[in-house]
Parts: sequence; C-alpha cells; structure tokens
Amino acid sequence: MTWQPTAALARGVVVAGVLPALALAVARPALLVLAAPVVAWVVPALLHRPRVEPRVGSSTRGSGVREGQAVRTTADLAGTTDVEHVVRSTEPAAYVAMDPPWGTVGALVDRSGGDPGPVSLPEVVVRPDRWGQVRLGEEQVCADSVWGGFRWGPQPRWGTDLRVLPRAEAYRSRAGLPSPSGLVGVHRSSRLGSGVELGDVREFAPGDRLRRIHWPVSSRSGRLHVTAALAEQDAGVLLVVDAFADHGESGGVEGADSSLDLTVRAAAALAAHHLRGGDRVALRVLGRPGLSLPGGGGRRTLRRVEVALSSITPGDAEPPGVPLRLGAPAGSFVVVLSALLDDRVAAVAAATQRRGLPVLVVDCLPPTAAPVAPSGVDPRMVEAAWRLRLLDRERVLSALEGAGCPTAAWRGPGSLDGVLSALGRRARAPRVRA
Amino acid sequence: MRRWGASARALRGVVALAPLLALALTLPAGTPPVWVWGGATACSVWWAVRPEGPGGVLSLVGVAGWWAWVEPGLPVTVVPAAALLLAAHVSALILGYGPPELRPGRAVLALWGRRAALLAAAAVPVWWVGTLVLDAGAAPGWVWPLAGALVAGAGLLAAYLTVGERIVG
Repeated sequence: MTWQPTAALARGVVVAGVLPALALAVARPALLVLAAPVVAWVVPALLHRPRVEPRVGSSTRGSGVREGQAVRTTADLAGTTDVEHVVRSTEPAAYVAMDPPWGTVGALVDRSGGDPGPVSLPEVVVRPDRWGQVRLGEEQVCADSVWGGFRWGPQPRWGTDLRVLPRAEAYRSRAGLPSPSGLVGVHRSSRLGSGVELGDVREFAPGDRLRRIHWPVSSRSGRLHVTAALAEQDAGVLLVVDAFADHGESGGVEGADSSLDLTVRAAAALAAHHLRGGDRVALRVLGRPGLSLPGGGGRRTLRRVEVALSSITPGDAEPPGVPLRLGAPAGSFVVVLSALLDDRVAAVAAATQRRGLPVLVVDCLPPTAAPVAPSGVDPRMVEAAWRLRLLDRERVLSALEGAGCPTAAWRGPGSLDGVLSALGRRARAPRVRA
Repeated sequence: MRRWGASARALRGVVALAPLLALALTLPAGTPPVWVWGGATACSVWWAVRPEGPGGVLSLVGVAGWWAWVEPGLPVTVVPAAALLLAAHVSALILGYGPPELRPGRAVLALWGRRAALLAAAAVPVWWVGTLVLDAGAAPGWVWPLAGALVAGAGLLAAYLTVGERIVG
C-alpha cells in the first residue's frame, strides 16, 4: 500500500492547468482570478508529498465482554510523519451495535508537539448484544497527507474477535438443594453436625462443648442438655444444556429471546449462584460434547463455564446411534435446561431420575417462539406443524411430571424457588425401601 | 443518503450550490441560457453525490468556461466567484476523506475553514494586478508567450510531482 494522489489533487491540477491556459488562449483574465485559489492549494498539497508509509499496529482485543456491555476498540498507526487525517471504518456485524452507528470515524492527527510518532486510531465503541463468539466486521483504515493531496489506503484489517459472555443475571434462590453431599457448604443437611441451625436438644454427653448447654431445658429437667445443630454441606450440581437447536429469533440482550438465549443465560445464572455458594458445578452440553466440563468450584470454574456457554452453537455432534449419557456423579443434583422439543432430552432426564438422582427440568422455550416459514412453503402449513409440535411437547412435559421429574419454566431470578423447595421437602421425607 | 450526518449534508450542500452561485454572479454580464443552468446543476449535483467523481472537474471548468464566454473584463464579482469555486472544491475534498457515512468533526471543518479563507484571499492580488494591467492598456508582445511558458512549466512540474514518479517506478 503506497501513497496515491487524491481525486481532489487531480481535480486541482486539471483546474490549475486548464484555466490559466484557457485564459491565455482566449485572453480572458477572469479565468486567472478564478484559478488562483485552486493553484494556491495545489502548490502546498504537492509540496507535502508524503515519504513515510504508515503501518497499522496492534489492536485491542476484547475477551470476557458480557452481552450488552460496551467496549472500546482501537489500534495504533505508526509512521505518521506525513499524516494529517486518519479515517477508520468498521463493517457492521450481526448483534453488534456501534458508536458511531455506521462504524466510520475520522480525526485529525495532533501535530502540535511536532512529529506525533505512533498515534491511536479513533475509537469505535462496540456493544455486542448477544452472547457467543463475535467477529467484528472487517476494518479499513486510510490516511490523508497534509493539505489533502495524497492518500494512503484504504488498508483492510481483519476484524477484532470478541468472546461475549452471557449476561450475568442476578439469580438468588433461598431454597436449598435436595441432595447436599459434601463436607462444607451453605445447604442445610438432614444430618446433625456443626452448623448454626437448631436440629435437636439432647442430654449432655462426654465431649460436648459447654457453650452448647441449653440452660432452660437443663434447669427444668434437672439434667444437663445441649443443643445440636444441622450440618451444612455443599452439593454437586450438573447443568445439562440442550444445544441441539435454537428455536425462535433472538433480538439481542434487550430484544426477544430465542430458546438458546434463555438456556444459556439461565445456565450462566445458575452456575454463578451455586458456585458463589460453594457448590461444585459441572456442565454437560447436549449436542456439543466437546464443551462439557467436569465438576469444580470457585471463580475459575465459573469462568470456564461461562466461556463454554459462550462457545455454544446449535447443532448435533453427539455420537450417532448411542443413547445420550449425562455422566452425572452420584449424589449430584441435575438441572436440565432445554426447550424440550427433542425427545432424547426428556428420555435422558427420566432415565437419570430413575437412577435416583434428583432432576429438575427447566423449560427454556420462550412463549413467543415460532418458526419462520422458508420461502416456497405455505406459512399455514408451518404454523399447523408447529402447533402439533407444541402439543407433543405438552405430552412430554406431562410424562416427565408423571415420572417424578419436576419441571419449571425459566422466567428469570427466583423462578425455580418453588420447585426447589418441593424437591428439598421430598428429599428429607422418610423413604420406604421395598 | 440516510447515512449522511449533519456536517456531511452541509458540505454536500456547499458542493451543489456554490458553483451555481458562482454562475449566478455572471448575470450582470449576461443571462446564462437554460441549457447552461441545466448542465451546471446536473454536474454540481453529481459532484455533491460523488465528491471524488468527475463531476467536480466538469462543474468547475464549466462555470469558468461560462465566465470566459460572457465576461471579457475583470469585474469585482469574479473574486467571490473564485471563493465559491474554492469552497466547493474544499468541501468535496473533506467529503472525500472517507466513505459517505463519515461525519467530519468540528476540528476538521475549522482547519479547512481557516485554510479556505487564506486560499480565497489569493484571488484578490491576482484580480488587483489584472485590473492594473488592463487599466495600463494593451500588454507588450512578450507578456503572453512568457505567461504561457510559465503556465506550461508549472503544469509539467505539477504533473511530474503528481504522477511522474509512479510512471518511472
């Protein structure tokens, strides 16, 4: 890429040459006056012919941006000795809002301190409106010389890659999990231990701490009694995400949700909630087995879960002919997030329930989801087929309830409290083994 | 057109109207016929829509040609006419900085406003010298060949600086 004369310079040279020549040829001095300002511009524009070629340097790469969060993108331009004005233009990309809206911005190079050296290109603020891997459109950079006689570019640049994490919804549930099984945590256990919640009052035994003595009962009964607390344990949570298909049209973070939007955002919210509470969280992505994660705890696991969720694309890469397996560890609580339009998901949820693991199915089909009729297909036929599909889905939901597998629609924070409380009560109830 | 910002719209307006105003300044010398108005309008609008297209040269040379056709002398109105043509040229230059959706900022407009005022002032001494020469009577015989040689030399130099090195390379 080299400096080239601008169209303005070509125009100026023609006018500065033709008009005086015409003035001399036809003896019209007015033409000399008309040409004088243009000639006065052509001279400095030619004298400032650039010698140094600019180079576009590194750009900022965003990672870990959340949907709806604005990020500034920029790049460095070196070799700006002869540059007076730079323009940067970014092609629009799907689900990305930009400021300025069309992604084109220009600015003068500040030369007040002499040679400015490498300069930062004008910033374009981008705001990804949907989770996932976003590649911003191809950029073009061009620079104009002093007095605008020569231009370098447009120089194409690859777009910036952005990994957009799902929105962190403020999910808070006060309901405990039905199967806490670890050593420490925040969930109330059914066993006595060293927690803070009162579990029993019993007679003093050797080894009990004196501060546990319950004086009112001891004075009434005449014998020493102590309080016993319920143990607090952590739990293993397996989040099962149905990525077989995406139903409905996504309108971004502030628009309508598709089924995969709801699924991914719900999974991110649940993972954040349980990991903050000290639970171990594993991830199984149905349709994308490569994205599944083993159980873990802490912030690092939360980050890994969010990155895996943002890498999801709808599709089916499961081994053909093999029944789905969740690989749920014993004692873990399984949360299946699905639009429930694939029978395999309901089947694997029911099978896991039969294994004795507590399973909660979260319905992530938006109420407004509907397929778009392809061209050449009667929309009424598509609508009728969709209704049949929904009727079949109702049958699947009823079958799941009948198998003892509770379902709940995801409607944001707190939408699972009722069903989680019911699951907890059921887990604490005495069991009769045949 | 929907993507044009306010500053770009204003600059395009200058590109479209300034040549027509420069043409209107010839009215005391003679009224341009309809086809001249039509041609000038078409070229100006074309130039405003495509600032880097050939409409600019056609518009500038066309208006100047009409001046040459109807005006043998040096009225003072030629000075604002030159300023108007320069304003159109500079506006097109700024618009050519980038794609149509580029919105030139205040700093760019201020810089080129100052420059345009300075450049437009170059017409005044030329007009003043021309008026003195015309008032002095017929020029000596060697003036016109010398002026022609100077113009040809300047044109060759400009052509070399603009494209000569590229041809050699």
